[in-house]
Amino acid sequence: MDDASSIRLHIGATDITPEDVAAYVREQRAEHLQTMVLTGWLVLIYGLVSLLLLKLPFLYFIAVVMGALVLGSTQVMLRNDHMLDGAVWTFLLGQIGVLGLLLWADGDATAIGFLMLIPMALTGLLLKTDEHVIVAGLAVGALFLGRLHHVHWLDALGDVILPAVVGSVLVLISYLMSRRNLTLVEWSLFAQDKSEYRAELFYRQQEELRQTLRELKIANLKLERLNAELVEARQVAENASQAKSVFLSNMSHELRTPLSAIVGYTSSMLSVPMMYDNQELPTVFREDVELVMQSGQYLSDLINDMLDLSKIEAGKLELYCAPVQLDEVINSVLATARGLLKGKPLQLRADLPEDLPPVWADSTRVRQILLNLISNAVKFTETGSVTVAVSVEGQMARVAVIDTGIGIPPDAQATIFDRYEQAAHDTQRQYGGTGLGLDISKQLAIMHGGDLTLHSEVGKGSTFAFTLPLTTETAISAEPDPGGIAIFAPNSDDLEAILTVLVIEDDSATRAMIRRALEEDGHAVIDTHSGAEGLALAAGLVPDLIVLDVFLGDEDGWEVLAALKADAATATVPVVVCTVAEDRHRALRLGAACFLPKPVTPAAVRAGIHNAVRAHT
Amino acid sequence: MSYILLVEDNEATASIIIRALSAAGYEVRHFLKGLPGIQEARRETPSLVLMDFDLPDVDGRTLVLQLKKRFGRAGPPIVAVTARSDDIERKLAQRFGADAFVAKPFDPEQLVALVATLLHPTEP
Repeated sequence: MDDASSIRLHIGATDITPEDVAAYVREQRAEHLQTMVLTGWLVLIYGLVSLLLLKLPFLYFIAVVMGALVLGSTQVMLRNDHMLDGAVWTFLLGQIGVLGLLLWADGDATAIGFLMLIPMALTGLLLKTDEHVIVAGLAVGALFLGRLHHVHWLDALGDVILPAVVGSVLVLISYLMSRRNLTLVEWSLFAQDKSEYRAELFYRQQEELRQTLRELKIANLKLERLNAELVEARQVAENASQAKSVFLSNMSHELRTPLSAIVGYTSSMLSVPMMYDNQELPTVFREDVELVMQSGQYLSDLINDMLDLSKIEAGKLELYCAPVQLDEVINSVLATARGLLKGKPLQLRADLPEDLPPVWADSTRVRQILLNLISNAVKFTETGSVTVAVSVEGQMARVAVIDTGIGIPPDAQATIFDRYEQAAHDTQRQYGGTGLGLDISKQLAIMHGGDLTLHSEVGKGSTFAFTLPLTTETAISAEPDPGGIAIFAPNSDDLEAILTVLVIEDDSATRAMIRRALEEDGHAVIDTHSGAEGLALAAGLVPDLIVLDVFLGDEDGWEVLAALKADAATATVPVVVCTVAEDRHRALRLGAACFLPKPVTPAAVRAGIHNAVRAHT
Repeated sequence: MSYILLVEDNEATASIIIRALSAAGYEVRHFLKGLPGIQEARRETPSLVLMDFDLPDVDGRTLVLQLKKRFGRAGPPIVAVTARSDDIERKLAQRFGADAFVAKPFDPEQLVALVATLLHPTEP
């Protein structure tokens, strides 16, 4: 593992090796020796002075000179790093030699014996224990030899015993001291090892962490890439869906136009002679022309149903809800349904409670559901009655179409609402109808927040029931239809209170919400998801107010705002800009009258409109 | 007497109206879409406006409102032409400023009579 060396690299200069310790010890030795040499010079000078003053024999002068030589050579050797050992030995042996010589020349053992302790002691600082023993031995030996010159060897031996003992003690002391030092060094090296180990552990953990972070980063990048792909895929899907809607809308127009010609003209031929120079259609043609008209009408119904269904499937069918008086709608549909009876002995009636509160619904769609259910009921009932009964259940109104007809067998009941499933083909042919009506009715009921359910017994009859939410708002009351043409009394309402609002908003849910909020306040709303279309509408229509979202998918809402303000025709129209709070100043700077923070709420829309209008007038 | 502005996207219905009114002596200018119709009205003020409520590009109600606001009380009468004959639609038409209401399908004779009444209110 190169971790150890890499750790060394990391710990670096603070690393202490046994070599460092040895080098340090050598340094210390050199220092000590230097100090001793200097001291030695002082002693020598003292010796020289006392020599001169005491008029000691010439021998002592020789000793001083020899001492000077020893000190001098030691000093010289000290300058050289690898001659340190030589310097030490020179110094010590030199001292022993000089002192031994003095003893040999002059017999006074006591003083010399004491003096000999000096090199023995100094060795403890300068040499290892085994070398220390040698020096001590040499010192004792020198003493012995020196004494021997003057006395019998036994006496000489007796003289050196005391110095020998002291010398041994000195050796022991220095040994013990060095052992202690060694232990201390060992301990510190051990502590260093421990910390090195810890550092290694820490470093390894760091590496693992770094690795984990790297992996996380890679995972994140993958996620981001996936997200981008998803966003792209979603965009593709939305584009496809949009393309489909446009196609449907175009096809619907393409299909309806020739059909309305077929139905319109045949109907005119049959009942509006004024269009044909007041000539009536000859009787011989009437039946055939009637058939053409009915076929056209049937095709028209089928296309409408299919388009409704595909709109529902695409989630693009919008409900225009308002407070609706059910009794009026029901009576109106029943009146229409009477035309379907064609002489059948059936009773068509309504069973409505008093004080029925209005429901929140799209009246056209409710009419559509009712007509579908009632016409089915009439189709499948030969005698008896078809009743529309309304009851209040909690927060909902339950509308049931009850017939006394042939009923529906259980297996047919299971699939009757299914998309693309139709009853047996003979039922279709026998009873007519597009077959899609129930599917659409159920979807419409669900979109209103309720549901369409069936209860039926073969031979007894069927009950189709759907629910609609109640509302506390008052409904616009309906009057019986007098025939379709009317002149209104002069409208005393102030038209200025009703605003024409152009809403340019990309997200369909937000768009619907803004529309609802504005329509509930009685304004006229035109909406579009496209900025380009919005600009065209603004220029053509010159609305009272524009609500603009800056995020318009592919287009840039800011550019649309700028274009609106740049065009003289639309520049004076107040624009309420829908954007995030940070961009409010940008919106106001670019000419917006007011701004709506995201996410948009109905209350905010109302407030924004209010402010914009107030600021404008 | 200026022209009658007809904004109606259904060709057959439009044809019926045009033929009926032309036979009665009126000039009819027909537009299939709302925006071009409104532009024409701005270019030259019509005597009367027949506005289909079920237009594909712009909501007919809004156009009626815009025209009424623009021309005011003294402007041309505006007739709302709608496929729905229920009263809610009628009330909406009135609220948005229409002066009269025609539900499809209608009797062309009655339409001509309505136009005449609106254009010459003092005549018996």
